Amino acid sequence: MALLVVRGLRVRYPGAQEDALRGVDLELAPGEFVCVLGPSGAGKSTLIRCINRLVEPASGQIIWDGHDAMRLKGAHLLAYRRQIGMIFQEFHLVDRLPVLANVLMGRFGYVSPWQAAIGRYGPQEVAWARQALARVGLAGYELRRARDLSGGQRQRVAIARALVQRPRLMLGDEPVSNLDPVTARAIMALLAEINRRDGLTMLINLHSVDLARAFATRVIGLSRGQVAFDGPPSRVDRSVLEQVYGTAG
Amino acid sequence: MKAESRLAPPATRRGAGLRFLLVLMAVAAVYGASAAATEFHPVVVVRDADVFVQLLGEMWPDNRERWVFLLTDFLPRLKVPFIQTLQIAILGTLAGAVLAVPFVVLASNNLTRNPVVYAAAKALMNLLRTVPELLYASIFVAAVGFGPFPGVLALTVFSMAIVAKLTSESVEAVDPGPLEALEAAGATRAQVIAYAVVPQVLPLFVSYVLYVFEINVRVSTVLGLVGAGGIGQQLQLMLSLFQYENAFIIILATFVLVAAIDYASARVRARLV
Ligand SMILES: Nc1ncnc2c1ncn2[C@@H]1O[C@H](COP(=O)(O)OP(=O)(O)O)[C@@H](O)[C@H]1O
Ligand SMILES: [Mg+2]
Repeated sequence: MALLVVRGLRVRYPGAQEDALRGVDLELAPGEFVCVLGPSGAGKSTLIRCINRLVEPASGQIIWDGHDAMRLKGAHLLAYRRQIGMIFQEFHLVDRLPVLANVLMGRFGYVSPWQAAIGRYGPQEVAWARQALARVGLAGYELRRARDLSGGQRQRVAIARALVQRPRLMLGDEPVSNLDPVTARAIMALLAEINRRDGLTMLINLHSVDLARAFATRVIGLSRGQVAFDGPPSRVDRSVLEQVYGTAG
Repeated sequence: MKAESRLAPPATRRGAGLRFLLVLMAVAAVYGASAAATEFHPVVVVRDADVFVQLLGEMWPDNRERWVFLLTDFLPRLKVPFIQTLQIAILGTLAGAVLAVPFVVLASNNLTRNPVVYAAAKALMNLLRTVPELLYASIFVAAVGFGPFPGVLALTVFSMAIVAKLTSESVEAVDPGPLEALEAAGATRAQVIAYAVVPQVLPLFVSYVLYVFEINVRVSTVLGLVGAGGIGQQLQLMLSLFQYENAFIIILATFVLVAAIDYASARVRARLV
């Protein structure tokens, strides 16, 4: 069964003249590594923010594991979000805080509010956070301040923060666009390794066609709020790119 | 095009010169009108200079015995009112800072999405901030009677408004990235505020509270003039009894106290930000 089904997704931002998404259909099977390509403004960020309900669509369906995710509210919505990890172009860490504190924030969806309020995590949570840091190659960095790390290291911290959520889907909004080519490739390789070993489903926006070809099991091309291509990376050729990016690209 | 741009600067400079002249004339006109309305004449300052000098002479203790009396007998008796002044400033600042916290949340557009609540909170803070502290003090004296209590109330309201306004502006300027990341991870609103917002604004908040404390120490020294407690009440008393030497000592001690607190607080603030 599909992990996630998106049907007829439409988004219009307040005050905008046109829809940011114009009827997007999409199905994700468990274990896929899907990369989303498309020119800037195509709606890539909007699409993944709809999936974890950070952006409210005007219409359309989101079905998670057979259940309607559009109706979720309050505690149910939070419990839905914690099953979905998310990483970002700008990493989005709290720079002043130590690495371990940043990773533990991935557990917020699980700890009771009063526990989090007094900053108490169980030994199990801390152990998981340390494991996740080791997993991304940052064992020993627990007490370093996030702001003292390099870009690649910060993205690794962000991945560890997502991993302690025990997610079933990982969303990425151009997670390697801010990194040099070598580091970008290393981060993509880390995501691919997590995808293979844990079977964690990936939906990653990219602006590099080469990286999508190298790592994706499936590529989705978004163009002006619509799916213009959906297929294996081997089929991403010149004519597909023209379709997705327009003739200028 | 090139000739034009070479000609342009002198033209604008002429324009700027004319503008400067107009502004200068406008300022002079406003000053003149205000001086006339308040019957303030620079001439009077010069003409009546001897009165000021005479007053200063009366304030200045003229012999050694007076100095010894004032410094060893009178000054120690000011301890209690001075401590009361500081207590008023401390209580007003702390209570204002605590009360400001909920208003910071309500008056920050990235924490309060309801536009009506947000606008109302912002407007209230701006309104409360526009009323001078001494006016608050007079109002509270009228409401609850003489003494330090109305002074504390006045500083509380004023501090709350300033701290809430400055802090909410800082909250609105925080990096929105961590907020989005925590929201995406299923964090509650309280968790997002505690972990993504507070670490970013706490040093600024503390520095605003210290800044307001500096203002409050200054204000609390004159609260007594409207009957709201502290050293100002002693100053008022000494002036009404024509005890100018004693008044002079009070002013001198106030100056030293305010300067010392300003200096210490500014040092701490410089380290925070
Ligand atoms: N918060 C917003 N408010 C209004 N319009 C937005 C907002 N975010 C994105 N948009 C618009 O929606 C469209 C899709 O944007 P986005 O999803 O960010 O595209 P991409 O990530 O592919 O660059 C663009 O036209 C963009 O200008
Ligand atoms: Mg984007």
